[in-house]
Amino acid sequence: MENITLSGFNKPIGELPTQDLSISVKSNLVPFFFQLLGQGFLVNAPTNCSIRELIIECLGIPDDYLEERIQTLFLNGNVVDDLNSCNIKEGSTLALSGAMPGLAGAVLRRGGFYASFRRTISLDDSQSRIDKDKHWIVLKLFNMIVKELGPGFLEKGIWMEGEKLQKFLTRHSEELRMHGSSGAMNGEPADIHSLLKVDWKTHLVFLRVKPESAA
Amino acid sequence: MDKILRINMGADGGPVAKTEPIGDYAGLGGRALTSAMVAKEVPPLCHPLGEDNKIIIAPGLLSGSAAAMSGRLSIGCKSPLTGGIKEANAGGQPSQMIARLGYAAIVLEGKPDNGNLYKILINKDGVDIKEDNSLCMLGNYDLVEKMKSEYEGKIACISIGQAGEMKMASASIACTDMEQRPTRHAGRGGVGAVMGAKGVKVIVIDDAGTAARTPKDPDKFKEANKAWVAGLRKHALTGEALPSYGTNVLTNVINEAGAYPTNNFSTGRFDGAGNISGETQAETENARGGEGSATHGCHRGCVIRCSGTFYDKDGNYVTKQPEYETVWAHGGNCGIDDLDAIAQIDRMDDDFGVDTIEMGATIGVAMEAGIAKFGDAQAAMDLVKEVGKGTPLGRILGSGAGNAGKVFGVERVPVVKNQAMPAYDPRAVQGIGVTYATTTQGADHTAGYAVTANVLSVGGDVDALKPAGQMELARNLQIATAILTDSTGMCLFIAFAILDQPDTFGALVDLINAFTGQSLTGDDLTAQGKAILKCERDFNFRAGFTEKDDRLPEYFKKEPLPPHNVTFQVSDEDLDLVHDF
Repeated sequence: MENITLSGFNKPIGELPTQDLSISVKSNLVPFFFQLLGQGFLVNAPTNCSIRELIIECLGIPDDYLEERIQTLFLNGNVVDDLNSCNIKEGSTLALSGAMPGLAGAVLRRGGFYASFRRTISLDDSQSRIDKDKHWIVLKLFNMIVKELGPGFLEKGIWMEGEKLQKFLTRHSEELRMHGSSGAMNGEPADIHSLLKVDWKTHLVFLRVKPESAA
Repeated sequence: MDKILRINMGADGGPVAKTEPIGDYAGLGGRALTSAMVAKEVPPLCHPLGEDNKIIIAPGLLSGSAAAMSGRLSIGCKSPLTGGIKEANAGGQPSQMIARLGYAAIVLEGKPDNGNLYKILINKDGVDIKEDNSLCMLGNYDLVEKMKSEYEGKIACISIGQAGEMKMASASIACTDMEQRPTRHAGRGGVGAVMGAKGVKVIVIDDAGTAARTPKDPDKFKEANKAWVAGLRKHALTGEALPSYGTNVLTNVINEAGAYPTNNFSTGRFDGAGNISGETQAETENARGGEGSATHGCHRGCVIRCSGTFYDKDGNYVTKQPEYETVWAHGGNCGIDDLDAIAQIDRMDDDFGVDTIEMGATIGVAMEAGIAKFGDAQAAMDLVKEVGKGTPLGRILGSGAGNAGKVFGVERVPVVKNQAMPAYDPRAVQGIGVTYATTTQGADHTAGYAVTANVLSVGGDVDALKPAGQMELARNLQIATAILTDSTGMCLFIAFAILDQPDTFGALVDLINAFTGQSLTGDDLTAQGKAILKCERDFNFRAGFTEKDDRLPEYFKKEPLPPHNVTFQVSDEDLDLVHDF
């Protein structure tokens, strides 16, 4: 575990207590959890790799999917044009999006014709330095990317800040009570009602969400 | 579309309608036609609410045909908000129906001096104009219901709400959608106030007994339309992202870029963006269900279907799916992250008949002035209600962000030519700032929307890395937009499919040529686009504008925008290059 300190925590991420949460829900409720993927989840990523290598080798996303579907990328809010030359530092935030509409969409697209329109927020490649062997980064998935890759990430499991998870569960407690059928906390079976009462805020949570048929 | 319907609202003895051949305006549609007519027929120094201003309602060149996506309606006049030329456009049903009735334009002229309100019926048999003061101060929803009860069949309405009657500078003109709801608005520039000044509450369109317009070369047209639709459907954006999430798909991405104007343009990131994003909106709409919930077209012939229908938790209809700019204006710009509250405000905007961008920007300015707190959704709703009631505070708010900023003593007022900026901060995406500054329309994100300018090779090869090159790109975008979308009746969202897929762009050109019988080339289209911009700019200069009006407010050059902490860095000299053609 590295020395990254997340918002809302005073301790480095490696010193935080962890919890393991699994939830089985009706398949139509799985997309509700996409909000968590859009807000950002934690990935323990290797160093000495470019964004392309991270996406393909660490995240397991196929090369052709990256080329064809992931049209817009942000590293720490800066638009990425060259996937090979941009490296990720500890605590980086990487966001993946499909193509977006309008002039703004065209401007933000990687390597796009109108890239000069947002030069002040484009990633300066020289700012990237590699200084660790492995580190935590924040990954965000938007729009068609979360629709297509989200279920896989959720089923495999994602690391979340407990506070984000708590806010999400509070906001959607009604839907979860209606459509969530079962769950488990640290390997022990627990019903949805009791899981909603747990205080997750001070923990780092490994969350898995499975559609009922796959549970 | 070979005739123009002129209605003189100020004629002695009451309004008089006459139909005349299209004459010198032949071959023009949409914005090309409205701007040509305003430039030629409206005295640039006239009062926008006076008898000399005109409202010109023009379907796009391909409207009324079977061409997919061709249902945009342009409305032009001298703007009471900017004082310059204005073209605002809307989806919905009227464009297709007016075109099928054969009218290239409906022109409202003069001004009644009796304070009466009128309703106008236009059908295949002609025009019927009736005084009807029972319509006074009806919202657009009640008004349309009343028209549906009075007129049989699948009518469409073009109408104003209370804001238009009160001649507020942010007043819009509503067009009914496929469900006969007044949800599609020509929003920008206060066009509704000009219609209100003409005393026209509603124009009812009935195209019963008419047929689709026929192309000059039906076989070629049919073939081109097929390729056109296939191209739109196969593209990831027009075939997948927009139908799935609507235009609000932009929220997360613009926010991530640090370009999402938040709390009246004070920062480029909104913590609550995830709660009002297109993804969350679509999940909410899908879960609540109901007809046309997350994927729905706004007019007949739409194949992208980027709209939807917003129902409340109990399944009651609230409004159409609020678009990105609306969600931003009443959401992040006011610090509000509650989709249900935003939908309720959108409903009020549509009902009172105000531009959602202008209204949201104005509420943001009012919040900065301390009239309400950022993030207070109830306070925002209460302020919009003031507009509908026409209270003194409501009239100030309904007069737009620039005017409200002056009343409230606020410096940070995001307007160009007195029109509020849309949902992209020009400090983060500077190329859009160039368009905001230099378009003839006032701050407008759609004025430079046609990202196909490079496909058309408008302006030849451009070095995008040089300032002059970027100015050239901004200019070319405005030229391409003026002709490719605003004048053909085509929806803006065709842009990506024709940018990425040369065969789809070819299908569009084939479609236009097969319909009109012309053999237009990219150069021809460029020339037409330039002509539109030149005539609009000439009108603005004659109305008193100078190059100094092509500027962003000073604070954009001085206040760094978090998180990137950037200012707007394009020089005035470079901005002046945009119109150097």
